Amino acid sequence: MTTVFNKIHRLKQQPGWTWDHFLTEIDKCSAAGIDEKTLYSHYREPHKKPNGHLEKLINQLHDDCFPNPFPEDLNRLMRLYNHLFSCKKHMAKEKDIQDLEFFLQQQSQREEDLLRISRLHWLLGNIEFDRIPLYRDNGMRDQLALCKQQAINHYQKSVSAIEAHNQHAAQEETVGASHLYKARHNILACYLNAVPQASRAKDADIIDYLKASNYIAMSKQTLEVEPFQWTIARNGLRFSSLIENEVDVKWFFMALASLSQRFLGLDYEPLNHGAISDGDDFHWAIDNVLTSDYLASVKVAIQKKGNGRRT
Amino acid sequence: MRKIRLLILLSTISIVLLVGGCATAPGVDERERISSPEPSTQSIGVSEPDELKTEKLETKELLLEDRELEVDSHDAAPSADGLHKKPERQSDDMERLD
Repeated sequence: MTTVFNKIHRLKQQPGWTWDHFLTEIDKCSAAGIDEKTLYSHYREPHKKPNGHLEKLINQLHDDCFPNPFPEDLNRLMRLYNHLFSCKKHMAKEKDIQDLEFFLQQQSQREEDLLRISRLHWLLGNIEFDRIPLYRDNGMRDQLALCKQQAINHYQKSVSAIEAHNQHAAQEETVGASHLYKARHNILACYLNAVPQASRAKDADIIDYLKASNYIAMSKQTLEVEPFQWTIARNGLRFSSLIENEVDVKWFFMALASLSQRFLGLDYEPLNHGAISDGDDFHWAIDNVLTSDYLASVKVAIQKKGNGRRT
Repeated sequence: MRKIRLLILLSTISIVLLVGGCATAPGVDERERISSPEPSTQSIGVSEPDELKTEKLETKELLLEDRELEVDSHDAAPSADGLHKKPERQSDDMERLD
């Protein structure tokens, strides 16, 4: 999920978007507006949780400036599913999800529009993806293997449909690289989440897919364009740690620390994520690269860079 | 002196027992109506006290949760049979992106 932090950065990155312009655009959306200090603190702090008003305004502005390329009816269906999945009080939730899944499967077979096919498979992939922790935590290996593979297949079909669409679409109608990145990220997440945390570093499937998919290189490319995507940097750090690659660990850690010096504290918890020091996947990096001396040198380097910019 | 102390102690105990007994006895006072799952205050046009509303909500939620468990146990995916542990997102699972 794209956070408000990322959306504020993406909006701010547009040409001509000074803080004054940003606030003017916000005022056009709502008479109540947003206090400048609040907006700026959400721009600076990856851990800040936005209130409903701010989130609504930023989402509205973001949707206006960066319209989603997928059909709106299917985006809304995806939102409905997300609400259904996260609802604790919904009775017969699994049965309703199965009914929705059946409908989506039927639709995806009838559909001819590539973007609709892509989004339907994306949603089918999400449904299978969300079952992975259930089967993993209950030791149901056969069901886990099946739902992991089905999720991967759906996301792969979604990627293929986007690529086919982009081959024939006019430039302004092509689906951006960020959406392809997200679908591929979900495939890798299927591999990772299917394995209990303690066994991830030694899991051949994860390592093989990680190398075959070129995920690390793709993450670096995405961060070159959008350096504010700290979740991408954090995942890059995670996988670099899992495959014990010191150079990449340093690259992704520098990306995090350059975005916010708070990441220099390994106990820092950004929004909806645990601290790096708490994650088993980061153990190798912490033990072998992210030593206190190294952290201190990164801090000095970033401060020098900051001073250089000011002068 | 001892007798007086004993008398005071006994009378205190009997008061405590009396109060406790009244609180749990059926059909006695307002307390009974508050703990009842279907109070009759609405039918006679009396507005519900806040405590009563809260307790009604809590009771409904509990009932809903029970029903939810029942329905889930009947209608859950066949593959989810025999689960002994609730699925929980591990602390550092990757989240999916939409």
